[in-house]
Parts: sequence; structure tokens; C-alpha cells
Amino acid sequence: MKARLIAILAPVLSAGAMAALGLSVVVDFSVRETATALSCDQVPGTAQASEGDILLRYDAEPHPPYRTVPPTSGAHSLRVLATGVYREPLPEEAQVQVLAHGHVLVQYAAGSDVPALERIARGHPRKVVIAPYPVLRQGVALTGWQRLQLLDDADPVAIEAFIAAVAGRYRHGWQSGATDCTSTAA
Amino acid sequence: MWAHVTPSDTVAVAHLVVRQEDEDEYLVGDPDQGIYFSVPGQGARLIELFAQGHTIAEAADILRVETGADVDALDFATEIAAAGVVGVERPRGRFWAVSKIPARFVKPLFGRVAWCFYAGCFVGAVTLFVLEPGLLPTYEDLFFTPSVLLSIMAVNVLALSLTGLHEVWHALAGAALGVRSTIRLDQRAYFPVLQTDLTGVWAVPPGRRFGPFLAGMAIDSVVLCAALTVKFGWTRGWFDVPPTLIRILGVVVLTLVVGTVFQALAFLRTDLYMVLLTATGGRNLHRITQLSLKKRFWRLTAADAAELDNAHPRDVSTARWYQMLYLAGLLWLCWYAFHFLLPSARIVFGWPAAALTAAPWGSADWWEALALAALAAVQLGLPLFIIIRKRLARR
Repeated sequence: MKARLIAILAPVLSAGAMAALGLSVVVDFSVRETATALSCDQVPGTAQASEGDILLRYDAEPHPPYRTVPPTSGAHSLRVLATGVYREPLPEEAQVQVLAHGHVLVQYAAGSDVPALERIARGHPRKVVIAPYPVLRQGVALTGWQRLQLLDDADPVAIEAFIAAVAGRYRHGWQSGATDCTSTAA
Repeated sequence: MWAHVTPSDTVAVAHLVVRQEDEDEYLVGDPDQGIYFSVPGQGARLIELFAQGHTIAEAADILRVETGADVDALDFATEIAAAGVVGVERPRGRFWAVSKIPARFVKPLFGRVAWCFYAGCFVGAVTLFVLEPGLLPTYEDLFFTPSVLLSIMAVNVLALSLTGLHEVWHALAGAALGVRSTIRLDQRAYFPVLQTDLTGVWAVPPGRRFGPFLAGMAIDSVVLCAALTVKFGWTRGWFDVPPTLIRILGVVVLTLVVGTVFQALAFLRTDLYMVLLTATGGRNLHRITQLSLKKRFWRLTAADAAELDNAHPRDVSTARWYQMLYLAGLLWLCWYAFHFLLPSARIVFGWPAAALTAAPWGSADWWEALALAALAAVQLGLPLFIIIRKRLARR
């Protein structure tokens, strides 16, 4: 009886695993095809002009200075960074790489309510990178690809809204009909 | 050679057929030579212990514990060696130390309660993925620190440790049945693998073989469930742990999920293949499936046709449906190579190549690129090295 059960389960599990792998590819493509991005007026923050999506061949390679603080596009490192909580500042070239992968960066000035900010980021394990940003004199900077919002303090409602609307809009290219919104920027 | 049989020798009995004739009478035979003789139950038990890899002295000790009587195992081994039925081998310390732990110490790890715990961990891991899909791994998890070199090196150490634990659990489950095992480096398709050789487990009744084969995936489930529980609790804000540890647990989850998916690909002769083989009562399903497919899509040589004609009926009947799984697996491997391995290789080699040619010679970026290129070459070259080594060993 036990052997018979396992004889059925073994091929079912094996075939199921392979089918699931194939299905995940199909689902991934179909979700990308059917999802529709928010219109520009529904996206919080300010649209920023494109500075290009340029891969640096090595970290110290010279490149034009970024036009925003923190940067929102332009030259970026090849280094991939896992999403999550960082307690050391990230190089600006790495910040842009995070944005190029569709993630949202939450960066804060010294004196911010770090535990509260990290709690928000922890609730979005696949969308957010959070780190200190000494260049910022006060408050919190929220960035996505070509998107920037500066907050005076750790406003959880504003941060959640930014993450929900901006994460995944761009992933080395605009996704699901999203645009850079620069023509409608205020 | 039989004249020099010593208690520390092992006896090669895998080719023998043992069949119970009467209550305390067993027929032992070598079908190739046409030699058959009968032995009492203790003789059959000794052959079983030899098949599990025990030396003559160890087999005698085990039988003494089981029956309470002294058995002259050396005389028995000498007799069957003299009859030309078996060969003896000098021990070369080939068995893995983990597999020599006495059964009584490791049995609790593979009892009914333990298996319920392993199954619970598997279900728990799946449940946590459903509750928080953000815990599902992505390739980004590999880069848990801004230093790529440190990340890649740490990932290799972690993956090796987890694979080691997986193999140790196979060996311990074998030891719980008194079966010795060896460990070796091998390759499946283009994946390098560590493999515990549990050949001796074929000497135990089929119903008891599942434990050693499933043990690796069982301990993987425990570690996966533990890692996911910590990540889940941290995500929900239930407790605080260092964020670097959470990212390292991300590497653990990625490694174990990839490993579990790999184990489910039975056509690569993984653990699940051994379970399948045991459950269907087959002998050499992989080979018979290959021959069946060759017959269907190409043509068989005379030797192939003879091998297929003489195949065990269970293998032939199982191969009828298993060959579809085998073909699907091959297609998946091609898809995986095209969609993941080739792009990964482009990044892994393209990145260091760009830095090596563009970065100032001797700069930190240049040295890091060189180290990454060396690591990538080792990782991609390892399966090739194993294949060449196996080919040379066959000659």
C-alpha cells in the first residue's frame, strides 16, 4: 500500500515540478502582457528627466554627474543588490542599479525614525531597498526609476503609496504600458 | 585469493541471488556461473550484511547481537570464496565515517515521529510561500552584500554546506538500517553533484529503502522551513534580527528551493528516481527508458536490442509512461540552458571581461574581475572535468 502510494506520488511530484516550472514562465509572460500600469497622474512623486540606462564597465569608471539627489536614472553599476534592509549607505551607482531592476529605494537622513522606516520596508521583501543616505540633510527620499519624492519625515501612508505605485513600473524598460511621464510632469 | 581471507575483508555478493526455500533453508546462487547451494538462515543473513558493505568481522558481530550465538563468519566467507562464487576485497577505508555510526544512535532520526516532523516542515514551507509570496527566491538573493566577490564566495560555501548536510542525512538514514555508504563527486547533465552511494540499501527489503532515499530532501525541508519561519516572522515585524542574516537566509532559501526542484527531476537519476525505481520494483529504469526512446526515434544495435529483450518486465512496463517524463525533462533542460544558463554565462563572463579590459590594470575593480572570472571558470568547468575523469577511469 505504502509502496503503491509512493509509486503514484513520485512521478506526480516530478511531473508536477516540471509543469510548475513551465507554468511559471507562461504565467510570468501573461501577467506582463495583461497588467496595466497606473496613469501618470496616479503615480506619487515627481517625474524626472531620463539620464539614460547606462551600464558602467567597472565601478570607478568616470560618468556624467547625476542631476538629482538622490539619483533616479543614468549610469549604474553592474552589481546586483538583493532587496532588503541595509545599514550602510549605498554608492550612487548601486542605487541606480536597484532602480533599474524595478525596485523602490527608501533613503533617510540622520536622525530619522529608522525602526519605523525599516518596519515598512520589511513588509515589502521583494520591492524595497532601504538604506541611510548621508547626503540628505533631513527627512526621507523615495526613488524609483525617473521618479522622486522627498518627505519631511517617515510618513507611512506616503511611503506605502509610493511603493505600491512605483515598484515594478520599470525593469530595464517600462513595463505594462507605463511611461516616464516627463511630458506630463508638473 | 580466497585462501587469504581475513576478518577485515569485505565480500562482493551483489551478484548473488538468495531465495528462501524452507523455514531455515535458503538457496544461494550465481546465475552467471550456474552455481547454486543452500545455506541456513544465518548464512543468508550474513550474505545480506556483506551486501550492505560490512566486513566479515562486523557482520559476525551484528549476527552475534541479533542471535546471541557466535557465528563463524570467516569460515563461511572462506567457503563461498573457495567455491568461486564470490570475491573478497581488502578494505581501503572507503566507507564514509558518518555511515559507520551504530544504528541504535541514529534510528530515532528516522522513526515515525521524525518522518511526521519532516513532512510537517515540507507542508509548513509551502504554506509560508503561499502566505507571503515575497519569500519566493529570485536570483537577486545571491547578491546579499554589495561585494559581488564576497557574495559569490559565501554562496558557494553555503551551498556546499547545505549539500553536505543533505548527503550526511542520506548516510545517517542508511546507517539506521546498518547500511554503509560512500560519497563521491559526480555530474548529472551539466550540474556537478555530490552523491552518497547507498548501493548496500538494495540488500534491505524494498519497503525500508524509501527512508535513505528520501532522507536528504527531509533534512532540506527542515532547514527550508526554519529559514522561512525566521524570514516570515521578521517580515511581519514579530522580532528583530540583523538584516544581513535575513539576506543570508535568502541565499539558503534559494539554494534549497533550487535543490528541491532538481531532486524532483527524476529523469536526472536524482533521489526521486531511486524512490520511483523502488516503488515500481524496477532494476534499471533509466537505461531501459533510454533504449525504449532510442528504439522509437532511432534504431537499436544488436547489443541494445538484446539488452532490451532481457530487461526486467517492470522496467519495460514503467518505461512506457516514464519515457514521456524523460523526454519532457530533456526538453526542460534545453529550455533551462537557453533561458538561464546562457544569459547567466553572459553576465558571469561578460562582466569580468568588461572590467578586465576597461579598468586600470591592478586596480581593485581589475583584481575583483580576475577573481570572479577564475571562480566562474571553475564552476562551469567542473562538470566537464568530472565527465573527462569518468571517461578516463572507464578505459
